[in-house]
Amino acid sequence: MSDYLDDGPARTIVRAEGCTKVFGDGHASVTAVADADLTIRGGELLALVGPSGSGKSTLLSMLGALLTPTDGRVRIEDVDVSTLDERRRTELRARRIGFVFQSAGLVPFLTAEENVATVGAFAGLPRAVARTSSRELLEQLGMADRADHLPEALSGGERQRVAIARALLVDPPVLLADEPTAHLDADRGQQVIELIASAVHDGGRAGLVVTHDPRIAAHADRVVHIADGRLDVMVPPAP
Amino acid sequence: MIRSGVDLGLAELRRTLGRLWSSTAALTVLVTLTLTLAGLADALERDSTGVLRSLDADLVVFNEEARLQLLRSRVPAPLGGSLAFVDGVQRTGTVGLLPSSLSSESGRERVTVVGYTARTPAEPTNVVEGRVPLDGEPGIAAADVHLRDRGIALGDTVTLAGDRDVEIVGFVEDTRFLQQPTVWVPHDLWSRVRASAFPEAGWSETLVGAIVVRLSPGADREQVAATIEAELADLDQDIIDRMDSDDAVEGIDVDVVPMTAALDAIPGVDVQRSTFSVIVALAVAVVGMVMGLLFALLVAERRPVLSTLRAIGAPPRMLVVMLLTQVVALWAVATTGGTLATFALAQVVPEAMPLALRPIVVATIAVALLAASAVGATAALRRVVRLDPATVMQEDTE
Repeated sequence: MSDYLDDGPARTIVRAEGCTKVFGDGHASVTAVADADLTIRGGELLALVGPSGSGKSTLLSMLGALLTPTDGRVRIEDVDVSTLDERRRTELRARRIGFVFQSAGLVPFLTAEENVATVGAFAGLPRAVARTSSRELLEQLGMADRADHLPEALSGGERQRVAIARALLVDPPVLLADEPTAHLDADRGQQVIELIASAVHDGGRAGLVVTHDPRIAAHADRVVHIADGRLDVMVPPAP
Repeated sequence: MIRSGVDLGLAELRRTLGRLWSSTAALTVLVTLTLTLAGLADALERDSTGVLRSLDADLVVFNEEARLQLLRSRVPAPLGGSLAFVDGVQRTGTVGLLPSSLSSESGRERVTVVGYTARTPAEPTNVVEGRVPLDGEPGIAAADVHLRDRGIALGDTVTLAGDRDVEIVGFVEDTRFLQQPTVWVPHDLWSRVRASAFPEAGWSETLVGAIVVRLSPGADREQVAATIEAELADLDQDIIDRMDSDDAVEGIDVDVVPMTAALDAIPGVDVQRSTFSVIVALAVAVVGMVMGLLFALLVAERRPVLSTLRAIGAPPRMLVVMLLTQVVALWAVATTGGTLATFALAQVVPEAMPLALRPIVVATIAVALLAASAVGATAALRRVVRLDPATVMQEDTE
């Protein structure tokens, strides 16, 4: 078992063991992630860094139940994701995993509040709860006065804040973010980093951020490097 | 508040109306074309077959030589009475048709004069004003409402071919034959008009066109038809002996057919129906293809959004419902617009173009268009179901 399987005193929420993902068959096959072992505890923010094409997004996809490992297993809390069928993986994503994507990924024809509250419908939240929670989250993230705006009327930073609110609506135990500051300027990027770090640390969630941004590494509890599909070096958190 | 695929689909339509306007307009034009063709086909057929459809009868008896042609058929009138005793027959009547003309103060019209026996299945059922003549009533007639539209009123005297003056005592609806309006008269008057039109045939009150038969409730149509044919074959010489005519009767071997077969045998009806059916089906298929293409493009364009929705936990079913909602909404808007446009078109087309839209035609075409739209959108729906949520990462990175 490698150093990345780090069962500390806090509850382990995400555990990847021997996780491998191979795309294609035979000579044309490409191993995107090889034999990755990783744990993320509640309240812990992990930064996953590495060059383009190193397998960061593939690993994130496997941890987020978007992809099934070719070999190995992924557990989210008590659920072995690797054995779930597509319907159950969809349910798991709706109820236990919050995603923040690089370009926010908001639905362009829904208002900020609708974007947030819609996740409640996926997870089976009662309508009133979804509405109240989405308003509260938008207010906490300083977006209350922009709740009725469509994404096209929001700035990049505002969109990412709405995306964070959407990711937190059902209070998921896991928060996964893929390059969340890639399209933002320094100030807005800093705000988004702080919001994600706060959501993980204060909410007791397991957080993983794929990033090139050294500022995120500074907020992370651990930094994991990946190169050529292999988890390579564990960098201690910045002071 | 978005709670379902329906909400999602409607929200997108509501907020991207401008983007879909041109597609909806194109679909509306296609629906208008489809409804116009269907309305035209329906009106043409109804204007050819009204005379038989207006009768409350189940079977029609033609003489065999006529090959189911109403204008050619000649049967001895006493046959009708003899059929009343056949098992399964409730009532019989006789009709005869004659292409003729009618003169009035409004001008001269080509008409079909219909001789019939009153209070039998041969009497037209859809009287909209006044009444129809009874047997033996001299000098009166009922006319198709088309003639009322041409200026003939109740109580007017019109002249049929052979200088036969008749007073119009009633109007009947939807009784045209081969696009011509009809004038309904008792058999004896019909025979006289016929004798005037075809003097070489002479006058015969006992020779009519066809016999119409209303069956008793529960009677087997085919069995009764076979029985009638057999009975008439036996009565052959007896009936001929009772005829008071110099006409050369071609024999009374008969064809007994259901009313639907008699309608199909009216000249042009069958060919017209199948021709228009193919054209209308093609138009419906084009609507389905356009809808399919439109939604294939929409899904391709919306792939990043749909992938994101799948990634954050939207079940494929919800996205399919979202798309189907949009298909149904576009269909509803295009069908409503197309129906209104076709109704408007029907008001302005020349009278010679018999364009009319009946609710049943609109409903049938609407259902066919909905089915074609759903089938057309199947490829797009399949793409949504097969959407890999992991592509959200690739698309996000691109």
